[in-house]
Amino acid sequence: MANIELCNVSKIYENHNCVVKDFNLSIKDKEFVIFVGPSGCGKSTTLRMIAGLEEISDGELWIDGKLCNYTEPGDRGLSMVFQNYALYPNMNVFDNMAFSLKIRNIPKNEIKQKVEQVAKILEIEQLLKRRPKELSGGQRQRVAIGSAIVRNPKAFLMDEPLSNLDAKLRAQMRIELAKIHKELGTTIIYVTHDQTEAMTLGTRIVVMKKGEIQQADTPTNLYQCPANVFVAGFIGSPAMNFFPAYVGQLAGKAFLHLDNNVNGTVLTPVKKIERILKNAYLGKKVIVGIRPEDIYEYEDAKERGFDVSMNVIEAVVDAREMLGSEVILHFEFPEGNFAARVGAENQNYPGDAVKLYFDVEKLHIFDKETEKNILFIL
Amino acid sequence: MYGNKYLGGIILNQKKLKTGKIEPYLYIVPSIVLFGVFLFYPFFKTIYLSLYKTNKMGEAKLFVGLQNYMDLFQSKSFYNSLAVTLIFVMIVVIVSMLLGLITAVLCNRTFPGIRVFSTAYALPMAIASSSAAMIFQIMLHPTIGIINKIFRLDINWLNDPNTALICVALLTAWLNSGINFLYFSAGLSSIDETIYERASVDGANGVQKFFHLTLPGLSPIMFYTLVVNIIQAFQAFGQVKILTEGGPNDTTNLIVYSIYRDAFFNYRFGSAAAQSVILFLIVMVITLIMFRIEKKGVKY
Amino acid sequence: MSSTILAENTNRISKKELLELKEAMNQKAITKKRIRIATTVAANILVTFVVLLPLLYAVSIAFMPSGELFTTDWNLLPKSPTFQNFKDALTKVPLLRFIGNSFLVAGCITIGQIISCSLAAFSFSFLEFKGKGILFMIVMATMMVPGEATIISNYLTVGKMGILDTYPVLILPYLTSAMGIFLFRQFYMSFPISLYESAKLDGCTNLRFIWKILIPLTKSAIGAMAVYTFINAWNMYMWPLLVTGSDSLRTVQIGISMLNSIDSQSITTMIAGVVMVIIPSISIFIIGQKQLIRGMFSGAVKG
Repeated sequence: MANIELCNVSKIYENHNCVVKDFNLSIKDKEFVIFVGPSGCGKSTTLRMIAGLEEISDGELWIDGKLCNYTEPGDRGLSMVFQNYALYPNMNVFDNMAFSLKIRNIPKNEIKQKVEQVAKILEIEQLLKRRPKELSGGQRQRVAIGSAIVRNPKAFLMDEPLSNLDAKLRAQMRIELAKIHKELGTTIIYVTHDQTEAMTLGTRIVVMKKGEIQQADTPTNLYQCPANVFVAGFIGSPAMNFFPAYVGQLAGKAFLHLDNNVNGTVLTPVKKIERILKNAYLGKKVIVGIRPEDIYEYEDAKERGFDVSMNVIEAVVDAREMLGSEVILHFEFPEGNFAARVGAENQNYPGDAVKLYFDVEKLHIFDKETEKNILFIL
Repeated sequence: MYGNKYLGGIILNQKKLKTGKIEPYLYIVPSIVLFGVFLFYPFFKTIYLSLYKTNKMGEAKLFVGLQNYMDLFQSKSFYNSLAVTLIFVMIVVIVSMLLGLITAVLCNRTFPGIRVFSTAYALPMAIASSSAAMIFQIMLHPTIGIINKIFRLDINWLNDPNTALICVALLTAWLNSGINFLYFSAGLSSIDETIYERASVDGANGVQKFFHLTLPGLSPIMFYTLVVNIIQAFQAFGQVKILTEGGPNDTTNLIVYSIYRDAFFNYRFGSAAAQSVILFLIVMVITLIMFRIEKKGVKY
Repeated sequence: MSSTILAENTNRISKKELLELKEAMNQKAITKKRIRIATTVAANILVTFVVLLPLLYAVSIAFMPSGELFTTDWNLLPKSPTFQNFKDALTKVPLLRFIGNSFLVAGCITIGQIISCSLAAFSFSFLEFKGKGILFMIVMATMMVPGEATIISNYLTVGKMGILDTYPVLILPYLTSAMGIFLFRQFYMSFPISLYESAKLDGCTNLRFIWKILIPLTKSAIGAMAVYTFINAWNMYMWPLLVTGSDSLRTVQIGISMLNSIDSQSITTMIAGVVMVIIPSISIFIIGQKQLIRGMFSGAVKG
């Protein structure tokens, strides 16, 4: 139903504070796009510019091939779900959902039919007579979504819609949102600071930092090929481990000296990575990243058939977090502390020295200066 | 010795317990005593007096039962003062609330100089009814008053039975508008900003927002303000005393003024007490009705 | 990716057109904003003028020589401003004495109400005792009784007590107020009870708790109370009118009406007196306005 394009969109406040900078994104019909990033990264501002609640300082907003920079919010054909739900406190659920239709002078019976139909989808039929105050958080959330659906908008804009719910309800609503998206097949632009929400819901995730897009890609690509240190560290929990490293040469091959220390721990990269390093980064400093699940216990790695003659290090357990199905071990390590995700059967406790194998196939290498991923950019 | 100490401990504990029980009352004693002496006692004494004929000293002399009330309900002047009071209250409440609402809406969105304007709108609440009455007296003066000069009229506002009540009411409305401005401003600022944003996205224009969101959003404070205004309007006295003394032809003989006149000019304390009781009943009934309506209507 | 989007767009609308549009729309937005602000300010100036007209007019007359007032001409501003009216007002009646009386009475009432109300509110919100609910109901019920309904009996009572025409008679009846108790209680209820409990565990006595913890925490409520009570006490009319007879005890509002004589030549003097009497209450209001709003309405709106 809607293609939304943002070309070089910027938001600059009167005090020359630039909160969104050169934002370029083309959102196709039926996409579920997530804007994610730490607070103050400009994700909500971008959403509000699309909605028309904030002026666009520079750049263009195209909705279905129409320039919409100066279109009134109500005429953009979008509907929005707010963080605090923004239900009209003086109207009952029915009137709340019907409001956008009523002010468009749509016939009463048509409104009634429409609202009831949507209420059925969201299973809030029995609440139609209630006022927002008498609803629980989850119910308010449904009403807010219902009010957005009723209008048949070109796209939904959602500004942290789940952040006011408790953890359990949030997980439940997440699944329902995914279902609704599938059922309605509408474009959704969704803002959150929660990377789990982003990963589970989005068909495409836009990671932002300080008003700039860091990477816009599918959840899988974002996880496997993070464009830079920020994205790598932001997506995934526990976060990726980073080590400063120095690219040295031994017998014509490139090696990674962790902590820039030639005498310290050495990682031997696989052929593909080695070639890139040798070509451009010999003698330079880089940042090595490895996800906690790509670190194995020595014995476990051996069983799995990894080549454990190299890339084995020993570290002391600093803390242990039992999560039920798995255990997160935090290690103290001279070249930089790190975490590893191991099986629930693991019996290592703080103080134990553990031999670990680093799966170098899954290494991420970032340029020290630009912090960009040198494996995928090149 | 040992036993003594132990005993002492028990006594101390008991004493502590006892003070613990008395102490909460000690804090409310000053207020309760004052209420007792200057509110409850006179309240019941007023009821008591209203059943008696009194002498010039205000002492109850002859029990007459409901005679004072019966006399009142047969007196034209009492009906007149009831009617005048009701009209007065209506004008005052409507005008002062409208003025408060308009000024609050004017200062809703920020703009340069808003602090000065909002201070100006709240200012009447700091002004005494007597001082204001004296100023209005000059403004309404038939020959030198600014009102006649502005509108090029020649009306003797305060001596004309058709206009005197309206003038006193407008003055009272002006005095009360200040606090109404504050109430409504507080009400406006308590409305969640995001519902306006949602309404914009939903496609509502300014007028629709005002009638669908702002006014209903004000309704809880509006209700509270209404009750306060009604009660306050019933109590107007200083402005009547100074501007009209109940005249001309009793057209501004509000019930409070009538009480005052009966008690302190005619020395009919019994009748004045009966009127006080009626005033109290009216105010109470109106308050109760309002709260009943509120429970049914303005809830969210 | 961005270059392809741009390429697509340039097909629909040329760069130059886009720039022109942007310029035009921005200009329009700025004009719109300016018009909005201008109309708001204009409307506010107009309404403010109407609201303040009585006060402005009073100030203007207060500076007017009495001869200037008596014309049928347009005389909004004094042509030759003078302080004579103020001097006359001060000599004609003991206005300074009245002002002093009012300050004394209003000051005592304000301090008294703050003490009695905060003590009572403390007990009602932090302590448990028998009959608490009923007592609080009784206190709240007093708000329904209009003062005018009890004023006659009160007058007779104080007459019997033989304290007519004294300072205590002006002050005593107003040393507490249900509204004040309610306001303070509203504030205290917003504190977690654990605040009180932890103080108790630390061995803090109740009075110490009020003095050291509650009062500093409720400064804004106290400020609001003080401003509101002082202004109301300053503006009291009916009670002082009934219970004071001598010049030496009269408060300003009664005293000022003494200037309201039939002698029409003295209108300017009277208004000068009114202006002098209004100044203290207005100044206190303007100084305390922020406190008043913060203290009175933070609780009122939610409730």
